[in-house]
Amino acid sequence: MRLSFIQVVSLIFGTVILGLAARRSDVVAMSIPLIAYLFAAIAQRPDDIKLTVTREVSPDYAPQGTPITVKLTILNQGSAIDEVTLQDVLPDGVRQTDGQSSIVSFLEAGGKIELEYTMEASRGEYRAYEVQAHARDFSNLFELPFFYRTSQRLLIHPRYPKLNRIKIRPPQTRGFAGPIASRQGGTGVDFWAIREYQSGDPQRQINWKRTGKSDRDLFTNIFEQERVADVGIILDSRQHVNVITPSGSLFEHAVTAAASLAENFLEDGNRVSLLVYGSGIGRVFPGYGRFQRERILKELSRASTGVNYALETLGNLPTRFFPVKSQIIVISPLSPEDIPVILRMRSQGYAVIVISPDPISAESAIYEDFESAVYRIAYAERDFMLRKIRQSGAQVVNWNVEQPLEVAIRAALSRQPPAVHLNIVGK
Amino acid sequence: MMAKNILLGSIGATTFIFSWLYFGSANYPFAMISLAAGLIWIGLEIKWNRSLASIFFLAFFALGVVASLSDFPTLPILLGLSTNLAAWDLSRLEARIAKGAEGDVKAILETKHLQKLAIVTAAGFVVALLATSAQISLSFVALAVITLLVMIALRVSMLYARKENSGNS
Repeated sequence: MRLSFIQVVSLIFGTVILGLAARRSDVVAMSIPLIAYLFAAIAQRPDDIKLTVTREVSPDYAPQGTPITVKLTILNQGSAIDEVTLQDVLPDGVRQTDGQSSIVSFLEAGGKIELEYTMEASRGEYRAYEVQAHARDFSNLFELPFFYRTSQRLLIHPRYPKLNRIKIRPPQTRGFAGPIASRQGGTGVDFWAIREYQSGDPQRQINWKRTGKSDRDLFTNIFEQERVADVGIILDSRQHVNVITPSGSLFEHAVTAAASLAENFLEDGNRVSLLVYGSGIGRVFPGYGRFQRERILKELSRASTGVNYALETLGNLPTRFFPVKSQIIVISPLSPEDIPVILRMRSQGYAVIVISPDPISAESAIYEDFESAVYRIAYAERDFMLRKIRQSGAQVVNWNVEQPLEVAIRAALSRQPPAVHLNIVGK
Repeated sequence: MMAKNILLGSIGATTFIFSWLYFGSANYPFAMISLAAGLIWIGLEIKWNRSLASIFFLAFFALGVVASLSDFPTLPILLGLSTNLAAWDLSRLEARIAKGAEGDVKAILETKHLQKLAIVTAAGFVVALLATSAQISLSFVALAVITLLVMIALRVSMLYARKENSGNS
């Protein structure tokens, strides 16, 4: 109920009743200007609004922090409106940086209003927008609210840093040439083994030192073939392992890391897939190249934390989604219940790298508590958990999100992955 | 800007009329109240503070009722009430358009609004003036019937307002 309407009606009736009670016609007459005002408002009262709202978002797919231009066109297909307030309600995570997203104006029949503004959005997928229209008579005694929902999609993918090449050694590689040592002899750069000379071997590959120790046989150096590999990235989006820090949630850091790693491995020519596990299961099937990068970024844009009782532990992780003996990269803050799952992956033959955004450091930074017994116990428990994972042969990056991922990866993976045994074939 | 000037003019006119009426009848407390209320209202409007506009409108309306019951001349009272109504309306208009109207749109919005307001207040003033000059005698029964009709109209309008409110929420 509009206060101004109640005010005018109350004054009219109050004056009339007072005039009648006092039997004073001049007092009753004082209500007449108000009655005229009320009647004019009733006559001009908006009955119905027929607006067509068109929204143009450009670009509709961009990295986080890119200025997005929104153009809103409102066309009046009904009768003229004395006064209308239009407001484009921005979804959560979106911030207007420039321009005009609301207006008070009049609208003739067939008239048009255009609003244009620039905004910045956080990572995510935006689908539902709301335009609020409040039509009023000239005196604002009557107001008719309308809400228009438009559903143009806007995808904002994470902005991520580029990483230097990460050396991985999955047990199995694919057939195409690439940067990953394949544990198979052939043409390559790194020495692999020595075998007896076979006709057709290039002369420059003959190992003269070894041949000198032999009476009559020639020996040839063979090199390790370099191939591309299958890399599967698992992003943990379970809500209960996420921690919100002043510099953003651990999950946001994990998403950025997933994007960086995907870009890194795709640039090396590997076949990369993605599994987002937690609130549901989001997947991008293995693929190569720029299109695959776009597919992964789109999936990462949509990723969000959530609660799903069926996916509370990593126990239901569909590891068979990834090719056998491939490289798996798990990005998760981890909880103690996740250890058996990592061990199982190792036993199934996968090479596993765990990149674990450190929730203990993150929470300690919030409360500035690095001394208490609670912190020390939590730290010891996490250290024990990571040690157990390392013992299984998995590589672990304990990532304090305050430092760049590159630094954490270089510190933890500076040593080569488990060494390959040199074979001497033949004698 | 035109609406703002007219708004300040309307408040000034209302203040002048009521102050003049009460000073003229040596009713100094009410005269001072009129003057103070008007000056504060103008001051607040200049500072773009419009939260108390309705209170000043009600205050001047009450001063009009008191003046009418004190047998002051009807013409200046009706004039004061009309300017008071215009000032209140324009103050609310300024508050609304300050949030989102700019440039040409604001100018056109103000012009259209002023035209309608001028017609409505002028019509209300003239009809009220005619009504005060007309003499009709009513029996007690007719008066009771009119009172009853007023009550019914009040009830209907309140029901309508409540229905409108529930429809919007």
